[in-house]
Amino acid sequence: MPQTRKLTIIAQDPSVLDRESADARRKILTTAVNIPYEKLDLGPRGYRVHVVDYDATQRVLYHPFDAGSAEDSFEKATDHQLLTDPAFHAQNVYAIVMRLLARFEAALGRRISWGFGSHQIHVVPHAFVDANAFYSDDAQGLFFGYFPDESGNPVYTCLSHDVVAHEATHALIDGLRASYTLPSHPDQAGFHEGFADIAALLSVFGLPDVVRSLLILSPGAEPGRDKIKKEAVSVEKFKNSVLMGLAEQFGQQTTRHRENCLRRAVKRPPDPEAMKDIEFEESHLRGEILSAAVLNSFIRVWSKRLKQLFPDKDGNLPLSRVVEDGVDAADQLLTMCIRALDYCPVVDITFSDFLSSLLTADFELIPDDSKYKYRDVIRSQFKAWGIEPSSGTPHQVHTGAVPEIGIWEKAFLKEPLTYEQVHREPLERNRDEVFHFLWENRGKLGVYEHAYTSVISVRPCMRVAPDGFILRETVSEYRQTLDIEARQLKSIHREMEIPERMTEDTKIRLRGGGVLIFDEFGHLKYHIHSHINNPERQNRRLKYLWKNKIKDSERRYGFTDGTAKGERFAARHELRDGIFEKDEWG
Amino acid sequence: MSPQNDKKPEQVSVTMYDVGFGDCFLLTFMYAGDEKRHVVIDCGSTSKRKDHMSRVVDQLIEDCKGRVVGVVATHRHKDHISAFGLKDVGEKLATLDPDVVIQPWTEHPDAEEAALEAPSVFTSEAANHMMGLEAAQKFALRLVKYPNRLLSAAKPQTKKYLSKIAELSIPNKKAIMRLTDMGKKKKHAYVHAGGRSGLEGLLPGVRVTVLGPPTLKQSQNIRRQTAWDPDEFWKLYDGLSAKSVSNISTARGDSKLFHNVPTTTISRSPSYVKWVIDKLNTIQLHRVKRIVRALDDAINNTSVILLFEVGNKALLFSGDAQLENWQYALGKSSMKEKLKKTSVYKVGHHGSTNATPKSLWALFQRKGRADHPLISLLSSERGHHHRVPRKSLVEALKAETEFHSTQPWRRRLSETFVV
Repeated sequence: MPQTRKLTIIAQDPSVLDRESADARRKILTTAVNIPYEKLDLGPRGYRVHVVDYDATQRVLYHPFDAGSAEDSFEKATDHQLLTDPAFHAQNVYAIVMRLLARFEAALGRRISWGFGSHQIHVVPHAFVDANAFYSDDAQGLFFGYFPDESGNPVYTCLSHDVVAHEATHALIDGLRASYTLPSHPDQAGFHEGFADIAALLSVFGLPDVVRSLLILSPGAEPGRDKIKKEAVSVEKFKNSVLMGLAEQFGQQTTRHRENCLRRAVKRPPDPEAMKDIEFEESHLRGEILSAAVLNSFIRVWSKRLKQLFPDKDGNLPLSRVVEDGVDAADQLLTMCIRALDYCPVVDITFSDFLSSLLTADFELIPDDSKYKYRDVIRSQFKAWGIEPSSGTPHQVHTGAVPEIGIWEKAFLKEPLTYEQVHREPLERNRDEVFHFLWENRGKLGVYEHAYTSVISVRPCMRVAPDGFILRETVSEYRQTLDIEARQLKSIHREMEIPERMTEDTKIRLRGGGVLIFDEFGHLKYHIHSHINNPERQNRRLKYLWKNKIKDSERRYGFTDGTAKGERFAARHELRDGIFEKDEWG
Repeated sequence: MSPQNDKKPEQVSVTMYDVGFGDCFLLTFMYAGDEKRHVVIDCGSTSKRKDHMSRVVDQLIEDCKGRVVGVVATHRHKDHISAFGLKDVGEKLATLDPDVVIQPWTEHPDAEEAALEAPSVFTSEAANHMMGLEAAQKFALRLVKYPNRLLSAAKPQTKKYLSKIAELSIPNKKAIMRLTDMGKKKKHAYVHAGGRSGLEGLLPGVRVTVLGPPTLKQSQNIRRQTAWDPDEFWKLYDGLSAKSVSNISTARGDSKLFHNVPTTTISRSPSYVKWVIDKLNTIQLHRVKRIVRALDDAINNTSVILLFEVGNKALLFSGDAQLENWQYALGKSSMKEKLKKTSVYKVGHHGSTNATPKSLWALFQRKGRADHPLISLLSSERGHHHRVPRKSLVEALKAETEFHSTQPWRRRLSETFVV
């Protein structure tokens, strides 16, 4: 039995063509990706992904694709076949989702579950007529729309690598942090969107042939040549390349401008005040701040690597080396981002939290960052957007003479934690044992004991550092909820405030929780918490929910956002209301 | 100063007609020498009662003696302009021979087809916006025509409810054409917030201020920028028009996206496939619901808002303007000052949740007063189920204003209120 299966996918989307193709009938830029081999059922239907080709607008169920043996049915397909054969569309989404899942699992060093309990996610490539695609936890699936272009020809969102990878990332984040779809302040929804963009764009760099083909679309590169002009690999040129634009065809067709992609966050000029701007409360726009900071970090590191390799100002660079360095830089950054998810708080993530998680994840595996200074670059790029790390102890960790600013504080508490009643081995896999540990140490860890508390995951993981050593950690999450009326806020903490004009009998759900990271000896290394009785955090969240009337159908705040079950992402992509102080009649 | 400039109304009255669910008002300005000048504001209804609108219009013509200086069609919803589209009734209305027909800027005919060289307030963005509305209305038309197709997963009650809202939004072409023809005879004013009303010189001693709708440029200052423009959303839906209108009308087998590709009978599919199909059908239904409601709101927000000031009195007519439309006026201190002295308030959007913004309500200085209280006029229908009027709003109106509603009316066709 083969270990992997090679499948053809469209590298970006049908609008991005291969300049070096000699075959007039095959111009769309494609690539073959390797994914873990499995015995596929009709669909394809594998152990993690099930493609169902149902069109809800036309109410048609297409016959499922039989991927059969390990042979790639579309290796030599013409553009016409790629566009008009729904079997290829099914293969395209299956391969992109499986590849991304494998990428996340490799970075985290363990299997990842979907957020909805089932093992197989549904992927529906032609779900409806609409310029929309979304993830739904309730329907356990990814749904991709199609819509006509100016000439009436269909544009398939399922053929856009970026769109498919973006939506699949939503599902993956949901599997790791289910609370991130719950009502919170704007950073949380922005994080979902921004992270999904980052994963979609950086995952392309795992395909060196595609990176090469996209680089030669840039001015300064010539098809058929192995060299690229040095001025074509500057920071500014990278920002404008196809590689950094999200969903080219989609953007061109929805805005009716040839030059547009859906988003190009790297080109946003950094603005340290943007996070306070009401305009940036919209989730996609806010997400662009996050992706701008991360992707600009990547471009700068890539450019820096090339400068160190080729210090001369002029001349040509070997294209293969430019690609190789881009692939390496992107690989390290994407790995950092994915691993950072384990260090992110359980609820109400902020961009500052993510920055600390990102720095910690990298620091744990690669303490010595002196070669390319990834962490310095990341810190400065986030700072340019006014984002400082959440962890504010600059002198706690030193690598050489340089303090590592922004790493999460270690759980080396003044008062030692109690380990007497718990056992190391079950602590690595048993929720009750972790809860036992948490309960015994609730006072020392600052856990609010009057809230409903539950350990929701225990995930042992193993990561290999560049020096070959293995880092073993156990990541466990606990979540807290507290249902109260607004009048009770002060009894939880005297600095908690009822938002202006909110009545005292308004029902509120407060959320909190934490991540416990245990080292290989079963000792707590990090406790990344969002305490439920933290007034600053709860006041900010509640104020935002109240201001925007984010409430459920029973007019309660902090429970759900009032959208139909599983349709948060669908609604978010459709119509976004103006953000007004709503002065309505009840 | 010419005698014309000295002329002032001695009395002002408002006549409210019971049209069922809809609006029809007649403003009468009485001058010395028994001279009366009238303005009609809206004439439409969703009522299917036979000849009802004919009776209303006959009464209106009698009340104004067959002549008005102005006709205001606040926006294109059926419940505001349907009478203009009815054959005999519309012809009767045309005989009113208005000096000016007033409509929102979004109705300007030159901008219908994305006019590149758009007049006055129009920009290409504005043209896009209107194209978006057009496209959305086509969608509503399809929904009304083919409810079983687009709402297949809906319960009968939901289907009825959505079809009813969508029906409000379908293009009232005949009514719009009639209004255009009426305007062509003398003058047509397509108005926007802060601009001229078109009534200048026609109502001596009356200052008419346009408070809404804002232009796109005006509203951009208050509107959050969106990553995907909602107007684009409608246009994409309009992409359905070329293919899908015909698709929807043809047999199911012909309407699929991929031809010559085998399909599977859903009922014979495995249960795990049927499960996701059911889920997707429900999602599709919810999407249509969101679209229909958003369309309803979008058209309501094109409503003309007019304030008629006579001496220290002010009469406020806001069509179905909702919060988004109101935001511009409520952000201008000069306009807020004018609103404070409102004496007559035509309750916005039949008393819906966000058409009488609480910030507007807070401005009204005459509410709660025993002498010369604020008169509030609500035109709605008993038992109508568009979640209007809001109970809490009606309670506030009853408590703090001289409140009149068509809801309890039985045989009365109209009532006149002297200000």
